[in-house]
Amino acid sequence: MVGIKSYGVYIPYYRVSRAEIGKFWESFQLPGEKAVANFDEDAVTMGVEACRDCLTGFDRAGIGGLYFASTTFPYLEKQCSALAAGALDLSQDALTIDFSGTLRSGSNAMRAAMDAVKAGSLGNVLVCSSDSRLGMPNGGKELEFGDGAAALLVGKSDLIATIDNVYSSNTEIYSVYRPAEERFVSSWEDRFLRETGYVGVMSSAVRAALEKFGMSPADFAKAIFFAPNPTYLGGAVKKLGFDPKSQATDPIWQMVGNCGSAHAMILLAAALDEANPGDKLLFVSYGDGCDIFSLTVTKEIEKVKAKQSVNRFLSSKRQTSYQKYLRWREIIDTEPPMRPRTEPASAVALYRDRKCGLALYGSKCRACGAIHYPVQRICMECRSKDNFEYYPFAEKQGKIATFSHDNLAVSPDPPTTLAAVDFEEGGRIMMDVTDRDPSEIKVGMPLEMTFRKFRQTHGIQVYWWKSRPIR
Amino acid sequence: MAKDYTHELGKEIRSISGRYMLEREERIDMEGLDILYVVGNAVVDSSCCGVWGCRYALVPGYVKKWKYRSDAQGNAISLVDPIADEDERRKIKGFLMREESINDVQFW
Amino acid sequence: MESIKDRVAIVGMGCTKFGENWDKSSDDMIIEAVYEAYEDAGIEPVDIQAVWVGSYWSNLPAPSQPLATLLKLDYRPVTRLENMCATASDALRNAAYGVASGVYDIALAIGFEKLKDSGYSGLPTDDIAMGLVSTAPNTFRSRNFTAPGHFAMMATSYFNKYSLDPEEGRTMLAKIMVKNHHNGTMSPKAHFRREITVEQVLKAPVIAWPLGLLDCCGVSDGAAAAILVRKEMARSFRSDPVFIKASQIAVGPSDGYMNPKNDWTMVQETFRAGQAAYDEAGIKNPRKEISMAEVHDCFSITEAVIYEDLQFSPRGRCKEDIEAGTFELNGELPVNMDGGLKCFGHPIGASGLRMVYELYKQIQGKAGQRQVKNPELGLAHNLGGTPGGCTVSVNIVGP
Repeated sequence: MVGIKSYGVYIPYYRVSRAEIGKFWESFQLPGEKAVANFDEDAVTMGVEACRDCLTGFDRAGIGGLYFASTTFPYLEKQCSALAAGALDLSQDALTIDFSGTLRSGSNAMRAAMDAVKAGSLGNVLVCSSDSRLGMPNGGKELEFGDGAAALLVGKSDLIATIDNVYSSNTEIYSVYRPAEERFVSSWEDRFLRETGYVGVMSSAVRAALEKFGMSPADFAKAIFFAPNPTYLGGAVKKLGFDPKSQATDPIWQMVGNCGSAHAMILLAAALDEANPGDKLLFVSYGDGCDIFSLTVTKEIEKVKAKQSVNRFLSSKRQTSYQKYLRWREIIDTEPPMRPRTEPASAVALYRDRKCGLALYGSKCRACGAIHYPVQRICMECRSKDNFEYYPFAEKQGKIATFSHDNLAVSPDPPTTLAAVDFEEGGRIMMDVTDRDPSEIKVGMPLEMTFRKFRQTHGIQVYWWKSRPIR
Repeated sequence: MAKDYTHELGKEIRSISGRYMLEREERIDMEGLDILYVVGNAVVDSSCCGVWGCRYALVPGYVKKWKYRSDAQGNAISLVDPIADEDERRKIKGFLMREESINDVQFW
Repeated sequence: MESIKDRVAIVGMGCTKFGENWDKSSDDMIIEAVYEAYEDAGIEPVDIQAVWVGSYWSNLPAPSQPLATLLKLDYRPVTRLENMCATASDALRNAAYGVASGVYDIALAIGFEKLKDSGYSGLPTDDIAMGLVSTAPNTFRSRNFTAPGHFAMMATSYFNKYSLDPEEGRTMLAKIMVKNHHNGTMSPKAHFRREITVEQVLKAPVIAWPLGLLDCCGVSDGAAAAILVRKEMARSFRSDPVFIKASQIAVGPSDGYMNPKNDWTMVQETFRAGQAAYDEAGIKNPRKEISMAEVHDCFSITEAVIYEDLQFSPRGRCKEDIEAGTFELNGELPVNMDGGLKCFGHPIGASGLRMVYELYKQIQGKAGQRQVKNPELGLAHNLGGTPGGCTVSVNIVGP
């Protein structure tokens, strides 16, 4: 049997009030807020965070593949799943594939993972989808879109939910689309999108799937439908005969927004947070067609859902302003400070730095046990030479030894909070503290690691790690 | 502990790394407490590590004695009680963000 | 290990006015400082037998040849060196060793920096200094590294450890700034000469909490030079030569960045360089035996911690000495008599020799309004880097 072994999500810390955006443009207003990636986040960093959440307690060496889906990868040419696999410290022989091009890319990856596991080609596959899409300023999509990521571990044993059946369809239609040279998502007229596109395509696919599965709406405890907004969702759900209150809800649109290719998987995670053993779930993803799965929750769910991934990220948040959002997404350019030009990153140095930089490994002295970051060939305590083992920091927690809030450092989110982070099990790293309320930063405050964009130079996006107050 | 605040508006204070000027004083009544804040601009244009400018607010504290004496240059001096309470500070920061669009708030 | 004490004498020094020297190139400043030193020593340029010249950034990576061209040196060795903010102090140290070795009788040390031609404020090298380029070790990666941010971390930790509430701590630091600005008003060669008050320091906007605008130094252009000769020759040049008593540098292994035992309330490099210099000079009680000091007041907190690291004040108790006026011009142990970096700014490669220039003039009784009464030993201290890992030089000179 194939199914899901674990799940995880990531929702950024910051929210922008939709009312603030409407007020700014003196235009229409929607209720709720949208989750926005911080200036140091993108689809890759959010995806890595969701995978880390998903893999809590799992041995990463045993992961056979990483299938990473997004419509907003930072590179058109360069594999982001390989980059994420490096940050996640997955095995060198893990199969990495990027899925893209459609809002359905997340469920495409899930389907491909399921098929690979079923065929015995891979033992298990980490599936991740992550998006940070842009709508044009003063438009409906800008108000509706939110940023987020989700991850699932697909395998054969210790399943929290079995995947019982699957149905996929394709439909050629211009509903939402974005040419390669554009940053903002385009769409056709809303009525066409909703009636012919979403409701039309979805209803016929779901009917075909239910017939293939030999099931009816009443068989499902929850039906998880991707929908760009609650109006669309209501239209399709009613037409298909699901109960919009008890069966088919979208608990995140109001607080987070439409998270693109990650949206359906975040909804699935939210359903799993609430699921009970024996529950049947229908999972429907939409975008140039549909991927439809039926699942049965097992008693193993109790272990994983204790994390309450979705609820945890929904409740850990802070408001930011629309002005900051415009700067963080580089929608507007502000006058740059008179500062030295940025030196280019070296691809060669980054290549050498995969383990120490990307996967955050330091060293532990075999002679005296001193822990260092970065790797020190000569121990700072006993001066033993080349007598160390690699020591992973990424999943360790630390505390602030001392810190500052620096206004002079150039940052899209000033002040820059910098800390000496002392780790519980030893070692110190100097790190930026991101996703923080400066007034709450104190000496002794516990911090956890988070994977972030670090600097961009000459087309190379350098990633590293920062610290953040525990979410 | 109460301390003196010298009223010195419109005077450019320079240092080797930049300059600032306090421009306007306001007193607000917050739940019966008389709070003094001062608004100014600063430019850091010759520091060792970069350039920065800001509009900021200084909050000397609760007014205990308003302009109760003068210094040798004739500047009025008030006695103020600095605000240490975190909740109170948050309230004042919220007020200054709303009313003055100032994010940079400094308490004595 | 032998000591350099009393083996080398400084017989001539020069120093430009520090500031935004828009109308002077680094060549102009070098000539000005060097020719003042020549004249002060009464020496002919052809008598110079070896040169050590330091700059942190300016003319990088140009070698020594442009300097020989500029000064029309007589086919003598020129060595360019760099050691962060201690660059000029290290040029002095190398020149002193050259003379002490007996290989040279007369050597020239130069430190200079031209920062204001760049079009921006601050140092041009942050990416490089931070190890973000190519093969650097990436010990510390914050893209947003600024010096105020780092020194503020020391202030936060210091306040925390010694239970100073922010207002007490900031007031203590403000008093150091008021002192240095006061001294600077009497320094004709200083960049910034204006009195400030404690209240003005506390009203300034915060640059990196708890450090405000007036707690931070600025950038300047400047150059300084010294002529060193063997001890036996000193009095043939002048009746009041100044002798090198100790010349030490301590470079730390970045303990503050990696070792949780380092609590950021002291700078080990300063303590070690200071102690090594005291041993070299035979000083048992620095507080009593040192008459005056020029120290690296890049930020107010830096000077406060230096008082403790150089053993002028007991640990955690510099506040008592600051309040007692110990380090004021007429106090028990005057510090930064010329106004320090706070008034001169910090042309990185020049500051170390500017400090020695002040000590040299003080010892010769030529410091004008700033003159300290009967000074004996003077100490110059530079700190390059941050409290987490730095290069510190301590030079001690005396009659």
